[in-house]
Amino acid sequence: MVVVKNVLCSFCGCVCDDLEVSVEDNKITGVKYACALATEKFLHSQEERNPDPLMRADGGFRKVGLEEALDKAARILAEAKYPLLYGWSNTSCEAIKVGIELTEEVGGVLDNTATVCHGVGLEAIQDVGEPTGTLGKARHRADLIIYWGCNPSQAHIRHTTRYTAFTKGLFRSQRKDRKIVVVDVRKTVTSKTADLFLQIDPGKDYELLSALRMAVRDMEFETEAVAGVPVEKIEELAEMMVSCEFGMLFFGLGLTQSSAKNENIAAAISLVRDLNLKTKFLMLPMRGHYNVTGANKVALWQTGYPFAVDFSHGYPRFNPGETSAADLLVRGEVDAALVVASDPASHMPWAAVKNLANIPVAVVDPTLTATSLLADVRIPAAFNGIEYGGTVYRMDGVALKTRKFVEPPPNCLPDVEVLENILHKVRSLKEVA
Amino acid sequence: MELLIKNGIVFDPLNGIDGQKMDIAIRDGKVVESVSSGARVIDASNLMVMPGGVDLHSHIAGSKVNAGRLMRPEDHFRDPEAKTPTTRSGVGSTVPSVFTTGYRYAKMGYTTVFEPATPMLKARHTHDELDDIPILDKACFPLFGNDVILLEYLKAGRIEEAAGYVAWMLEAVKGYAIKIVNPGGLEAWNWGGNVLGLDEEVPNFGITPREIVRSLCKISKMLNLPHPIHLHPNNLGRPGNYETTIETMDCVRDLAGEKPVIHLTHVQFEGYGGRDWLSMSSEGVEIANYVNRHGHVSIDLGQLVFGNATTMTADGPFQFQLYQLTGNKWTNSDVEVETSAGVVPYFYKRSNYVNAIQWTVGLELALAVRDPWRVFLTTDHPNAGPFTAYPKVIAWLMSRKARERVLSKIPRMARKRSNLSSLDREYSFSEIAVVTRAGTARSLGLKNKGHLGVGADADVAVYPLNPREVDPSKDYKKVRKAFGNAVWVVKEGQVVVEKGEIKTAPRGKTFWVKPDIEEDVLRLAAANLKAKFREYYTVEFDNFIIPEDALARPQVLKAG
Amino acid sequence: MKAVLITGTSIAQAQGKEHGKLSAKYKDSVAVCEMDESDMAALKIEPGQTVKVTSPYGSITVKAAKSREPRPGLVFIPVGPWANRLVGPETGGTGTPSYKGLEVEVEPAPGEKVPDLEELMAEARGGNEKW
Repeated sequence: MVVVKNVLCSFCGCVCDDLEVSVEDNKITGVKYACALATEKFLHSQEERNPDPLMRADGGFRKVGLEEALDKAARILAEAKYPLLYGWSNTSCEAIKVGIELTEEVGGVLDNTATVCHGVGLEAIQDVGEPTGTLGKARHRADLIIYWGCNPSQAHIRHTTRYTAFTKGLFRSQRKDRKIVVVDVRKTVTSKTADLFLQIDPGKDYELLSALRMAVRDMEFETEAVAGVPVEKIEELAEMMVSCEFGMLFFGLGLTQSSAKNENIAAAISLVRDLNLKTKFLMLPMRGHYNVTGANKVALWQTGYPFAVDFSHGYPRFNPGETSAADLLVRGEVDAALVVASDPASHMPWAAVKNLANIPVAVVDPTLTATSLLADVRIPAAFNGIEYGGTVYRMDGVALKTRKFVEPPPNCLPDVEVLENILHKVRSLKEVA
Repeated sequence: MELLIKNGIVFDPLNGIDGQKMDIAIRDGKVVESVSSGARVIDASNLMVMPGGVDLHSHIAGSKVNAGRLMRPEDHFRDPEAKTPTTRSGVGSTVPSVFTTGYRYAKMGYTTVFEPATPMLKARHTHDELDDIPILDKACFPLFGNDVILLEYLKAGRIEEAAGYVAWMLEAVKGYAIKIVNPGGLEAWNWGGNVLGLDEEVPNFGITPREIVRSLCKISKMLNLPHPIHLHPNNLGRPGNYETTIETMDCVRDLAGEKPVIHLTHVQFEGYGGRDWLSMSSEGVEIANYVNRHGHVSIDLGQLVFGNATTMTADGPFQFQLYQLTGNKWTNSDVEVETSAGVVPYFYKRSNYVNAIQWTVGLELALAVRDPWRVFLTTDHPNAGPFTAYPKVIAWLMSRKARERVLSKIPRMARKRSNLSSLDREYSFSEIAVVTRAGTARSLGLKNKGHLGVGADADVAVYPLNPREVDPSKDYKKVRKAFGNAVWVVKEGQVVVEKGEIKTAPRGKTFWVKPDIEEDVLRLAAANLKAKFREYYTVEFDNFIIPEDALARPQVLKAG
Repeated sequence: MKAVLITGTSIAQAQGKEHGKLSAKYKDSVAVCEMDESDMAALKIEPGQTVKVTSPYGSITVKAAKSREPRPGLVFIPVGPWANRLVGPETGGTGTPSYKGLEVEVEPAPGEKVPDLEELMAEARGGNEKW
């Protein structure tokens, strides 16, 4: 048995890098220090895995050779007028780079899953900027931590023990050195351990953020409650914010996906910006997939835009609402799709799924997904961080490199190789044409 | 492959060549004595030939540059670049995407560009982007001036151990030189504060910026690093700051050696007199006078160019101040135990007397520093203007007439508060070659760059201008045009620009420095750090280290 | 009963997907409507019984479950192909559909079947193709 140390976790945006994985005969037999979610991923990554390239045939799918599947995927892209290349958050930056080149080559749209998660936060930053910092800032300095519309106890399980409430930092050594505040529509496991919990009415985040900005500026309220929260509690939180030495606001999809969306985030940024006139305050989104941050970063440095990048004019364009995956699918504007390491059929509105189901679709993914049931061709791939190594970006933009510690099943190449192959084939097809 | 650049009018100051007509022979990426008759010939008759440009301070890659890209979609919209058979698409303007950065530098005849501010924890990101910048050779400077571990060593007076730590870090993150930004001030910024002078104590650490600068200067010398400490001093961007700037240069005077031991960067932002914005004046000449009297200092300009810019520095408190001053959008990005960073878009107006004074400061510096080997052309891209404005700056340096055209249009108050109109000097082509390639290459310790002698890297720019016919003083527009678009550019012996267009875009190298230190000292530093690494960082020691093979084309330079 | 629907991730959903999207564990973890106990009592339903949830954009049958993070009047369906039958397609120019805060009607649906993933996807394709 081999024990691999300092393994990076390829589950959520925390990208914990202290895991120990036991491997015996190319089989993962144990994982230490991982949370419940990561444990599930590592232990099941080798199971229930259909490693066959598949193509749609009468009434179902047939098993084909890898080469035939790659040819089919290339043909789908080469023949499309306006394809969507979607996913990218559960793979390596190396694969994302090839994805961008491929999208540019076929004049399609590149979009990553941030488009339906934290993309609106990025839109807000385009409007107003963002005071942020790495996770270590919260650990070493923050005496006030706010979780807003996120639930680390369910989705980022080690966040509080590695980065916030229960860590030992240079200037804060224990839980009682910090105040924890939770703002959520529901009482959550996280909120039960908080020093202050504000239960907010669904969809009223913008109102509460605006009220907090008022309270921070010592303005009077002429009402008893805002967004279902009594004014006294709002003033209490405002006082905690102003009087802390170093505050950090973490926010989740509860803020990005509810009513005002990007305007919620802009309001949160404005609040944090105001607070910097009185104390030190930073903020950070709780990014979901382990490399969704990398998908945004690579797209930014190669194209200038973080997601929803349209190459149909030959140069990068960005206009969410127009060039974003959900809108393109709902309106039926794209005529083919390549889906890499994600599952839009599980995560897009039904109207989008129906249109996706009726265009040619190629899927590259280690596992069978809902989207692969809609696909014309499905190409299996190796797991980044388990079966091959690649660069990933933690939620705070810290880049790390995953490693390979088991062999992938036969036919399962790293997706970066699958994509290079498809790119090569697309170029050949275009030359012939 | 062999190449012969024939009959060009060559400026190669490191080899004493000043406008002579000669051939440059190239084989296997290097300049050689001669080539065979089968060599490809580039007819450079009556065209100006220089070594490839070398830029020692331009923010082209990494976390804060990308933060700038995120913040500036409105900037990208006005300058898209479409894909061509030889180039990738992208966006330009002040924060260009990586491919566009490489192409646009190459088209100006630049072949080496250094990214000057990298947090160690984010160095992998920087290298990721540098790898994606085509054509250019690159490197990055890690930020040490506010590093908590270093400050603790200095507080305890353990400079030998601090040197071991710096050496280990440089090697671990594949950095090139020691960068210092607002020493001590960024640590104070962790609590929303700043330090405003060389002798103000850094909160919680009981040491002063003076001690930080002096210690790192000593360490840089101990490690025999090829480039001196690269410093952005305290009080940047504040009226009256020229005194801090001169004090900072002077604080390492006793450490002087054969070469400069301190490089002050984008000094335009550090050369202001007056007590406030109302009484602000240019003190470029004062700083130049100090530089003229002291050989231990070199500087670069950070020349301001009117128009659109994106300010981005590791100087978090400065960027916050700029946000408050302008009300523009503001990004701040702090990195756990190391540094901060900030980004604020800015538009420099010729009609604004503060901006106009800033414009004169850089030119005063360039014209009043007598030794061109110690003053280099930069715009601190994209802080005082984008690198694509270099040809404009070159024209200002070479032509009093070009300067006067601007001087006549700036507010009278700005003219009065500056010495620029009294400076008659006009740079020669040879001096331009010094401040844009030969001098910078020498300052960086790149022995095969910045010249065209036998053995040099075959990085060559051929500009569409006959320096024997054009009088740059009068025909400055021709000069500007020529430096903006080289006819041919050769990188490592390969023709990358032909007839002004990108012909091919090979991958350049990334330099990193292996400091001159005994292996057992380095091992001890590593062991000490490993033992306490988890107390400071949120990643594991082993995952922090960037192995050489993580870089696409690394090139190590052994110090000493 | 009128309620506000929130969709989102949960531990069970995240673990379920690692067993494979076609696994029973995945379906069991996401084809559920988590409700406050008082709301379940009002509807006279027990955990495990089927409910039909209808939004302005569609309806779906899922199993009722007692929420561990309850709030009266609020129901939670983990993200997945079932929840997405209810999600609003409009992004308001942001790219992000409305996943949270949708007004829905929840009613008991005794005897109705919770569709399988294969059935949902076949329906999306407009045919009855089998995997």
